[in-house]
Amino acid sequence: MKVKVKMFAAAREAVGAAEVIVELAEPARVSDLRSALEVEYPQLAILLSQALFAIDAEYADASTPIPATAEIACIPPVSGG
Amino acid sequence: MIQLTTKRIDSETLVQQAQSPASGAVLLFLGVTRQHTAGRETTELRYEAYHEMAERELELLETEARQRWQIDECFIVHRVGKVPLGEASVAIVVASPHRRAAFAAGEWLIDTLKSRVPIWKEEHWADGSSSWIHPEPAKKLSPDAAAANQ
Repeated sequence: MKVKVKMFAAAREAVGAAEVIVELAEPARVSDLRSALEVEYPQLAILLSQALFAIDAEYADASTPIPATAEIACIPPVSGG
Repeated sequence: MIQLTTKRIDSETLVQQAQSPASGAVLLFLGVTRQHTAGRETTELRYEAYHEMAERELELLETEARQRWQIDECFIVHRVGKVPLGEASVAIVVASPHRRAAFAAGEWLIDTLKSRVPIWKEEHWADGSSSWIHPEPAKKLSPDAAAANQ
């Protein structure tokens, strides 16, 4: 399946897009998405090792399954405030 | 009440709105954009948010604070986009019958906001360069633990 992943801040700049499309074998978990992004975008490696992922605007664990039609986001370490 | 805004934060109005005869304590915290960070000079800051999720997380913060402390009013306002030096990027107002709950809730709210809400800061430096701020996670994982976490 193809999933769209929202990108923010330095991660967005590293991939040059606010959203990327990643091909994943089903069933896929967050850990599979992380690995696929590492392969596709080696320049993201350091940020990915620190990033969390969100599914439908909610933080997910490495083992959370990725639904085919969810909104997925890569959340690099946050710095609001 | 939570809000993301591109406009200047009007903290006086927030404090007035929070004030009532029920609340013996009204606490205001302002996070203000600072000129110097670790010896480097900043000219302005920009904030980017994952809007839908940031609003959702801010709502969760308000809900949790209201569960943990006796709170009459709770406002969390975060600015996004360009924020000139010396202006507030975030305002937190807590009104409570007593001061201890207001101080405790206010500190917890800003600490938790900084660690959890998907908002990012970009420093624009005086030398013309800029950098996104991505603090290393507080809990450093060993390579093995990091692998297990993935």
